[in-house]
Amino acid sequence: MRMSTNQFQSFTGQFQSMRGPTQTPAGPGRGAGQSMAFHEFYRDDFRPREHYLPMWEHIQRTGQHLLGDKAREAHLTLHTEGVTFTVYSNQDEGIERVWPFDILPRIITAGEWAHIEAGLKQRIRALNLFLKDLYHGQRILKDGVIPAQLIYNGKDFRREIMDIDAPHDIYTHISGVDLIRDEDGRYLVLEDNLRTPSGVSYMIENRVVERRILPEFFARYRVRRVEHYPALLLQALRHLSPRGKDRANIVVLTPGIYNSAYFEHTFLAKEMGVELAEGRDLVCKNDKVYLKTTHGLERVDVVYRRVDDDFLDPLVFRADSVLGVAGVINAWRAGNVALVNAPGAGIADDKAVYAYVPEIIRYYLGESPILQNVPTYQMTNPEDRAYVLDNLERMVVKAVAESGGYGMLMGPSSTTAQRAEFARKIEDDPRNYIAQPVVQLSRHICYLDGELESRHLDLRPFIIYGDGIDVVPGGLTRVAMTKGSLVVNSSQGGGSKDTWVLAD
Amino acid sequence: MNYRIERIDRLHFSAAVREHHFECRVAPWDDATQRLKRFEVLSEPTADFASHRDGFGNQVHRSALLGAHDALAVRVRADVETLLPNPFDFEPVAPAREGAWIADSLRQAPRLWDFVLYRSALTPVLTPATATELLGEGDCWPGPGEQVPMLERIQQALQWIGDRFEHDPAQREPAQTLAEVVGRDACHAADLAHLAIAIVRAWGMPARFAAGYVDADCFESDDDPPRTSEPLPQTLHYWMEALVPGAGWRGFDAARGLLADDSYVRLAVGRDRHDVRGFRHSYKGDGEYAGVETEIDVQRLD
Repeated sequence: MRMSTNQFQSFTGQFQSMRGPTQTPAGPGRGAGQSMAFHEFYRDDFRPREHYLPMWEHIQRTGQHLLGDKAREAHLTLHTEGVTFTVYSNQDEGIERVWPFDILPRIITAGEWAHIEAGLKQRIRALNLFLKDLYHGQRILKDGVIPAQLIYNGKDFRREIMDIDAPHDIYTHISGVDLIRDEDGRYLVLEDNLRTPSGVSYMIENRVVERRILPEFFARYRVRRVEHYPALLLQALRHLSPRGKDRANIVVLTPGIYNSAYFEHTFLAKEMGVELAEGRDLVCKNDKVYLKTTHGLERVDVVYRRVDDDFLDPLVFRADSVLGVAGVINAWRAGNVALVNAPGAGIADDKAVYAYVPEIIRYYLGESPILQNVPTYQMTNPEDRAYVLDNLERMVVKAVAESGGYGMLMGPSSTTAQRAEFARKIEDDPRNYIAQPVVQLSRHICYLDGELESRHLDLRPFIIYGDGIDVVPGGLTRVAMTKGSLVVNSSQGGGSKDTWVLAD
Repeated sequence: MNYRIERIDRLHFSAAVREHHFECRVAPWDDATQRLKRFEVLSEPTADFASHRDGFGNQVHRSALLGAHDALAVRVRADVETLLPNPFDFEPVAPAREGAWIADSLRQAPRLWDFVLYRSALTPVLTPATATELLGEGDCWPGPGEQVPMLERIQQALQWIGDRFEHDPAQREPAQTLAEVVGRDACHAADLAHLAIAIVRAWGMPARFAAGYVDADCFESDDDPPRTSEPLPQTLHYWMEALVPGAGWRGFDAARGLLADDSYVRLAVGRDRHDVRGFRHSYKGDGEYAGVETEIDVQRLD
């Protein structure tokens, strides 16, 4: 059945009504401008963009009821496959949820992707040079490119690892960089995730489900693969092994079943064919790490740890941690094990440091940034702070070391009490907050409860740094499932889409 | 002066522990102000030691005992030559240029920022409001002063501390917060060092916490008598080090109202006492850590 004319008009009418202009606040030194969310699917004349036409024509031909069947099938598949995530709130309702997935894929052209890929590679190269410098000679601080106070007041700057040489000078072996599109459709970096970024398993599961339920869509496009991510990751981890890639014994270190990303930990261990270990399964001896097995201790060469720095080694960081491995930092110091990602990498994704990434790129690479940042107000700057406090209702305020949508104020949807609370927090600890003007995230059609609706979304591509830098063609497209919402984090009720990067 | 330092730390557990990893900061520094001529560290049960420098420049010795044990003894012997007979012996910088000297030092060595910016319950931000809260109405922390050489300002701060707080060498437990320090009748040396650090950092100057040994019997006859007349027990001692323009790091012993000279042996430095703990460890098993007994013998060899 075809989508009726009425249905189509109703949908495009809704599209029109959601494009009402919103003001982007003018800050000190930053001009004012009107903002309208870019639509990924539609052009300004409300026709689908060219690369969406084959999909759209297919939907029109087959009708919307078929999408309903497909959506139910997708949900059932995710449910039976156990693709879940954990939320820490609403615990009386249980903490596990089936992964929310919208069946209509987001499509990125080869040309767009080439730009994204080049920008991400550039950014990751620069950030790794930055981290090496920060934990060694600190040339960038001596040259005054970044204020030293910003680093030394950062809670993720780990002075405990000063002067330790990370294997191959790589700190961020796995990165997830959140991209958004501004009102003009330009890709901007919203934030870097360089500690233990999660979501890659969902990227792959989305693709597996999509291939299963929408094979006819794939027949119409040449979509680049993402399913080889575990193989790429394994190859990168082997490359890091101090005993050489042929003798690489690798483990995934998980905090355990109560971690929100536990599904992903098990998924990656299984896909790579390596052991999933908890801290108690490992022991250090003579600055080497061993896995306790039924036939004795087995040397471990690479620990892909999904345990935060604070809990990684009770001898060095939090003494009360039972999740980590005592002595693992010293084993790393001695060059006997690779830790992935390297401890201390979090300072480079501190949201206050983020504002300096363009300068970091210029400083280390002598290049202009390919991907731009979202304008960011530093709360340590009195002028910026005063402006933000006067305009909180138009700002997104973020705690610099938080992720997952926690510690954030979304100004336009906030209450007076929430704004007052954040104003107080900013005044008390300006280093702990940054603010950004509300950028209208781009939108895309979603099939929700039997209707096609537009929702805001972002994109988290994953970058692997081993023997070279690989950007997996695709990523996790996160969708704000609530109408009008700009919060895409799964921990805050966000959903996801499969992301198709087209081959030439 | 030359010293031989012998030290034994005995760590006790209520029952057997295993997978016991430990790090100790028990090796005296080896730098321009003191030379480490010999150093040995041994343990019972026997363990192999490796060592590295931490981010503050302290020598750290590390080891592990994987088998069950309910006690650990670490024995250290060190021969040290101290090289700073006169801490006042340096080319001073004019008071008007001291700020620029500090700024330049911070620019050349950004690691120094840790000793300016770090705040904790032991070294909080000092403001007139906290002075009123902690010291009472009308009293205040010593301010930075103007056109007064920094060395003199710090000495005045030490005098201020000495006038208000009493050091008791018998005080075994340092305070957990500065508020606790100002409420004490008798203070631990670490308490007074933290107070001095908080004051100097409030001026925007780098100040760090130092742990080590002091030879309490080495005063020359023409020296002023120490503030505390009783001989110091053979124990660890704590003081503040401040970055003095023209001189570099200089030790200021708020417990005794003195500048540290060659009768002081530096073991470890950090932002506050938590960074200089002699032992840090992690273990598994049923046993609970029951404390450490430390015996120290500091002998002057000259």
